[in-house]
Amino acid sequence: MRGRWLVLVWVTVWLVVGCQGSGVRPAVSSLPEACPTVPPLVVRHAKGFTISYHEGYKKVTVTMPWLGAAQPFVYILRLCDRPLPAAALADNPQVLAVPVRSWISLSSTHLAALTMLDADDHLIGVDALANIHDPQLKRRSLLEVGGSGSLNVERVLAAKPDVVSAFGVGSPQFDAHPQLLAAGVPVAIVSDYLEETPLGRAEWIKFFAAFLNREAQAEELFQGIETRYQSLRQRVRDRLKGTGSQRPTVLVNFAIRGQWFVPSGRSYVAALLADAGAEYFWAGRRERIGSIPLDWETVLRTAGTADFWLHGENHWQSLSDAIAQDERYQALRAVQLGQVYNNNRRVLDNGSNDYWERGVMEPDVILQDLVTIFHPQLLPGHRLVYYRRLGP
Amino acid sequence: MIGRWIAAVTLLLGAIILSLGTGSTAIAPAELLTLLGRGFGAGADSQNGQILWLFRVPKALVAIMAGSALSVSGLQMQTLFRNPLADPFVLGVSAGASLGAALVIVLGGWWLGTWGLVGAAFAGAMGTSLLVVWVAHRLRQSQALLIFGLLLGYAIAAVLAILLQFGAAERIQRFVLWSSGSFGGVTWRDLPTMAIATGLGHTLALTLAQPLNVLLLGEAYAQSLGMAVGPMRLALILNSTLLAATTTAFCGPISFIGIAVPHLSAGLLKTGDRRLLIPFCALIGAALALGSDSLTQILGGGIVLPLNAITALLGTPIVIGIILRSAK
Repeated sequence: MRGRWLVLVWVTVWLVVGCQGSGVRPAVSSLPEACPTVPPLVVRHAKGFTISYHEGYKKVTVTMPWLGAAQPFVYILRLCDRPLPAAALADNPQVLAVPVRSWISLSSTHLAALTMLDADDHLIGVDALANIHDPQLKRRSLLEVGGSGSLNVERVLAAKPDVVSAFGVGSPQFDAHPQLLAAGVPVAIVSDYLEETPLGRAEWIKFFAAFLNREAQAEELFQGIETRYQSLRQRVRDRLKGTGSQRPTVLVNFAIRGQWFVPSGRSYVAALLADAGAEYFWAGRRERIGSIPLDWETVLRTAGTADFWLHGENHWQSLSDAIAQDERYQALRAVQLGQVYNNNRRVLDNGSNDYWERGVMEPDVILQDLVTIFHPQLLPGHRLVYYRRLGP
Repeated sequence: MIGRWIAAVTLLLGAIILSLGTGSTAIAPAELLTLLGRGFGAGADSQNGQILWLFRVPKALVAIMAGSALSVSGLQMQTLFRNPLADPFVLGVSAGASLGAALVIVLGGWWLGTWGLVGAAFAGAMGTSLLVVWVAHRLRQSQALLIFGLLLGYAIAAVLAILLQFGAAERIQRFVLWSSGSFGGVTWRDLPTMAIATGLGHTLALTLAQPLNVLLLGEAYAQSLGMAVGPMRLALILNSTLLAATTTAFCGPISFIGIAVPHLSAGLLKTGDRRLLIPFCALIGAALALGSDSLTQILGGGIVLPLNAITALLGTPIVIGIILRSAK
C-alpha cells in the first residue's frame, strides 16, 4: 500500500516538474548558421521600448511594461546559431529565435501592425474574433484563446506559437503573461497605449518588426506616417501663426454614472489635439499618464464652453443617443452648437471599432480627420475616415 | 428627547449645506439661498446656478433618499433577525442587484440604457428577496434564514465572477464603477421614480413600526398578542427590500450605512421604540450619506474618491464598536 503511494507521489512530482518549462525557449534548431543582416532600427518617438543590435542577436527592452511596473521586459532575439555572450543573458531576458513564424495576439490593437508588416499570415490566433474589425482577418479561421482574465492557456500551448503579444496591467487577476511565461511561451508585452504622443504609439510597429526581421519595411512605413503627420502638424502651426486664428477648445470622452475620465496632458490624445491646432482643457494636468477621474460638475465648469466635443460612447449615432443616456449633456455648448464628433465611423455591429485597431497605426489619418474638424479650410478635400459628426 | 431631534435635523441641514456648497468650487450659504430661491430655470443663468441645479441638488436629493432608505431598511432587518450585524445586503439583495446590473452592463446591449440597468438591478434584488421569502415560509428560525441569505449571496457572487470572465474590459470597468457606488449618476429625469419608490418604502416602514416593536419582544410573544407572525415577517422583508433595492438600482451597492446607522441612531436617541427610531434613522442616514459624498470630493482634491470607500471608512469604526460592546 505504502509503495503505491510512493509511486503515485513520484509520478505526480515528475509530471509537475516535467511539465514546467524553463521560461526560456531557445528554439535553436530553427536558427541558420549564417547571420542575416538586418538594417538596424532607430526609435525616435516611442519612449516605451528600445532596440539595440549586436553580433548575432538584437536586444529589445520594454522599459515600462505597464504603469508602475517595477522591472522592464527584456527580449534577446537571436538571428543565428551563435553562442550568446553572458552579458546578453544578464537581465533575465526571454530568448527567442527570429523571425518568429507563428503569432498569437491578445489585443486587437496589435493586429494593424502585423497586417501592415504583411505578417498577418503568421497570425494563428487572437483573443476573440468578435473584437476584430479587419474584414480579411475576420474571415480567416483564427484560433480564439480568450483575453486577459479568461485566457485558455492550454489552447495557447497546443497551438505552439513562437510568441504571444499581450498587454499587462500588473494585476495577476487580469494579466495573461505570468501563466504563459510559466508555461514557457514567450510573451511580447506591448505598452503602446502609455506613449505620450501618437507618433510614439505608432512607432511600436518597429517593436513588432524586430520579432519578424522586417526592419526595413517598418522603417519605410513609419517614415511615411511620420512625414505625413509632421508636415500636416507644421501646416497647422503655420496657419495658426500666420492668420492668428484661434485654437478651438475641445472636450473629450463622456460621463459614466456621473463621472468623467478625461485623458491627462501626458496622453497621446492630448498630443493629437495640440497637433491638430486645438486647445485641450486638461493639457496642463501632466501629473499622471492615462486618464484623470473628474466629476460631472467639474467638467461642466471647466469645459462646458468647449467649441467641440469628441469621443463619445461607441454606440452613439446621434446627439439624441447621448442625451437619452444623460440629459445633462445638453448643458454643453458643443452640443448646443451641434459640434460633436464621434470616433465611430468605422464600427461593426458588434461594436468593434477600427479606430482602436488600424487607427493606432494611422495617426496621420486621424490627424487629418481632426484638422478637418477644427480647421476645415486647411484640408478642403479630406473626407472623414474615423470620425463622424453626430446629427440631432 | 426634543433636543436630540433638533440636533439631528440641524445635522441634516448642515450636511445639505455642505453638500450643496462643496464641489468644483465652493458656493457660500448666502449665494446658495439666492440661487435656490431663483428656482430651476432662472437659477441656471449663472454657472453656479447651472451647476447647483443640474448636479448638486439632484445629487443631494439622491443621497438623502439613499441614506435614509438604507438605514431604515437596516433597522428593519436588524430587528427582524435580532442580529446587530444584519442589513439589507445580507439577504442577498445587493448580490441580486449586482447580478442584474452585471447582466445588463456586461452582456446586454446599450439600447437597454439607464432604465434597463435600473430595472435589471431592481429585478435582481427583488428576485433574490422573493427566493428568501419562499425559504422563509419553510424556515421558522430567523437565524437560519440569515444564513440562507448569506449563502445565496456567495452563490450569486460566484455566478457574477463567471459572468465577468466573458465581458470586454471596457464593460467590466463600467461594472466596477457601478459597484463602487455613486449618487451622481441619477438625473432629474430618473429622480421621480426613485422618489416614489423610496417614499412608498418609508410610508410602509412607518406603518409597520408598531408591529416591529412587538416583534422586538420575541416571535412567541407577538403570536400570543394575536399577530400573524409569518405574513408580518414577509411584509417586513419586502418593505426592507423595496428600500434597499431601489437605492442599489439607482446608486449601486452602498456599504455600511445600513449596518452602522441603526446602531448610531439607537445610541443617540436612547430608545428602542421603532416608531421613533425609524424617522430618526432616516435623518441620521441621510446626513451620513450626504457627508460621505461631500468627503469624496473634499478628500480627493480635484479627483473624486469612490463613495463606498468613504462609507466603509466611516462605517467600520461604528461596526467594530458594536462588536466590541456586544462581546463584553
